[in-house]
Amino acid sequence: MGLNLLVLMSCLLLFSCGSADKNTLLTIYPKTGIGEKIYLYKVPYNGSNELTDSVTVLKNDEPIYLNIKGQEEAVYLLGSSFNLFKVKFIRDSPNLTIHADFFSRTFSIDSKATNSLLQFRKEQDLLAVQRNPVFFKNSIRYADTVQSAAAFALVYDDIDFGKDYQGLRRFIARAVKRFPDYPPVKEIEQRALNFLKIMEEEFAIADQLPWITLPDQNNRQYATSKLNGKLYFIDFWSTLSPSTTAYTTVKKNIRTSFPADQLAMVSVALDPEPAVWKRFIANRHLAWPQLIDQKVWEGTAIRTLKFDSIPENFLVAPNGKILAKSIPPDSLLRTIRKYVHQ
Amino acid sequence: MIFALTALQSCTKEDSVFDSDDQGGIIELADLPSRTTSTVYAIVTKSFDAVDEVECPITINYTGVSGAPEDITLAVAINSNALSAYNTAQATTYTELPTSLYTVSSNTVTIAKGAKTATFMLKLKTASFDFTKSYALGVSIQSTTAGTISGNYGTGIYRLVAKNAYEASYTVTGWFFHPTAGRAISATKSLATVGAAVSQAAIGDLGSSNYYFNFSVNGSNLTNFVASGATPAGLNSGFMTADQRGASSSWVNSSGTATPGVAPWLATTYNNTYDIASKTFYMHYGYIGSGGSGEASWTRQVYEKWVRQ
Repeated sequence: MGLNLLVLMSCLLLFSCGSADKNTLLTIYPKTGIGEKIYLYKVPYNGSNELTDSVTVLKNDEPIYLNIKGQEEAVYLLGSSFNLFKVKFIRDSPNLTIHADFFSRTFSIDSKATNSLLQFRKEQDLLAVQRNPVFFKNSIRYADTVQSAAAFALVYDDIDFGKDYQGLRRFIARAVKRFPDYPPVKEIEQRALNFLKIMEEEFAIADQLPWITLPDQNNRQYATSKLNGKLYFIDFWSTLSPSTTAYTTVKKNIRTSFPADQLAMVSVALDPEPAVWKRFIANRHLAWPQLIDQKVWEGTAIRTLKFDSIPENFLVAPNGKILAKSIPPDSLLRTIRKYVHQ
Repeated sequence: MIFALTALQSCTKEDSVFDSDDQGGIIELADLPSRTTSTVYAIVTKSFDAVDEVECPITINYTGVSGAPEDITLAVAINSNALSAYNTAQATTYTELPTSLYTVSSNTVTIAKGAKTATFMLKLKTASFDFTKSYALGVSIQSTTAGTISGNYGTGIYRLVAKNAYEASYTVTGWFFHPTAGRAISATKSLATVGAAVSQAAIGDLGSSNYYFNFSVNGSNLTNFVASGATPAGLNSGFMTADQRGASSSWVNSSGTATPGVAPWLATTYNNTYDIASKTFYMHYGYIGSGGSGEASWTRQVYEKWVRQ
C-alpha cells in the first residue's frame, strides 16, 4: 500500500515537473529479473554514455516512470543489470513508452524516429548480406529523407560518396538546411567541409604556391617565404611510407647535381615522431633543409597546400608559381634540369 | 484486518533464512535472499564459468544453535512446478535448464547429527548452455525424517548464469578510422558470452546501431572473426593483419592526428591479441558497407585497447 502511494506521488510529481520544465516522460514496462536494476544512459554523438537515471524493478509489466530533462531530439540507451541486452532509442516525443523484455531480448517503442531507423537497419542488413551495391545508395536515400536529425546523425556513419566530392557537398548542404540547429549535424558539416577542402581544392601548374612555416631538425621555425625569388623544389614524404622514401636516392642526386644557388630544396616529413624522423635524416645524410609536420593529415602542409596524398612535390619558379607538380621519381632529374638550364 | 495482520505475522515469524536462533528444527535452503509475502518464492542468481562441468552446491540449513539432534535424511528435488509458478506470479520467462545440461548427484541429502548444513549437489554443463537464454531451476526440500521444512525457504528458484572468462565490462580506448568522420573511441564496452571461448563485441562505437562481431580467444590470439548484426559478412569485415592506409583516399578526423599506420595506430601494437596477465585485448579490425575484396578495401578501420574494469 505504501509502495503504491509512493508510486502515485512520484507520478504526480513527474507530470507536474514535465509540464513546467518541458521534460520527457519515459514510461517503461520492463520484463526482467525481479530486483534487477534498469539503467538509462544518454548517448552523446561523440563521447561516452552518460548515466542519467536508474530504478529497481519490483514488478514486471507494470509501468516505471522516468523523467528525462529536456525535449530536444537525443539518443538514449536502456540497459539492465539482468544481462547485456540494451535498447537504443531516439527521444523524439514528450511522452515515450517502451516495452523492454530482457528475457527475449526484444523491445517495442512508440518513437517514430526509432522505428523508422529500425526498419531501415533491417533492410540494410539484408543488403549487406547480399553484398548489394544498393547498400550505400540506400543509406544516402534514407539520410536524405528521414525526418529525425538524430536518426540522420546515426546513419551518417554508413554514408560513403567515395570520390564524388560534389555529391557529398550537396548531401551535407541538404542536411544542414533540414537540421540547422542540431549540434551533431553541425559537427558532421564541419568535418565534411574540412574533408572537401583537402580533397577538392588543389594547386595547379601556374598557380601561386602559398608559403608555409614549419619546424626544422633543430626545432627552429623555417618559412618557405625565404625562398622567394629562387627556383625551388619542395616535397612531402613520411618515414612511415615506403613509397615516399623511394624518392630519397633521387633527391640526393638532385642535391649533388645542382648547386644550391641554382636550385633550393626543402623536404617536409608528415611524421608524428620527430626522433624517428631525425634518425632517418641522419642515417641517410640528407643535407638540405628538412621540416616536419607532426600533425600529419590535420597539419599546416596539408591544409595550406591542399594535396591529399603523399608522395607529393612541387617545382616552384622564382616568382612563386608552380612549374611542375607530382613529378614521378624517374623523371624528376630531367624535369628539374629543364628549368635550371633555362 | 486483524486476520490479515495475524496471517502476516505468522508468515514472517519464521525469520530470515540467515538467522540461527534458539528455535531449532527448521530446515531450509540457505542461499536464498529474504522474500516478501508478495513473492511466491525467493530467487537467487548463481554465476559460473563456461566449462565442461562445474559443481553447483546448494546448501541446506538446519536452524538452531545445537545442530541436528540426529542424522536427518532429506529428499530434495528439482521442482518444475515451482519455476512455472514463479514465472506466472512474477511475469518472468525463465527457461527451465534442460536435463541434458545438468546432473543431480543424489536426491537424498543427509544432515549429520550435530551438523547445521548439508549440500544438495548439481553438476552443470555450462559450456553447452545456450547463452541467449535465461536458465533457472526450482529446487524443493520435499521431505525430512526430522524437524520442519521451512514454509518460506523450503523451495527456491536458482537462476543459473554461465559466462566465459572474458565476459565483463572494459574500458576501451582507440580510434575509429572513417573516410569522413574519424573519431576517438573512449567508452565502456562489454564482451558478451556466445560460447566457452567465443565472445561478442560491438564494433567501435556502433554497438547500439547493431554492429557486432563474434571472435574466439585462442591462447593469446584472437581468431574466427564472424560478423554479427548489421556488420557485413565474408570478406567485407574481419581482423586486420596490416595497416591499410590506402583503403581510403583520406582519413578525416574529428580532432587531432590520426592515420592508419601512423603511431600510435599501428598493427604491430593493435595486433589482435589478449594479454591474460593484464586482462587486456588489443584489437584491429575493419569493414566496408558493401563490395570490397579484403582488408585493403575496408574504409572503416578500428584500433582498440580493451582493459578489463
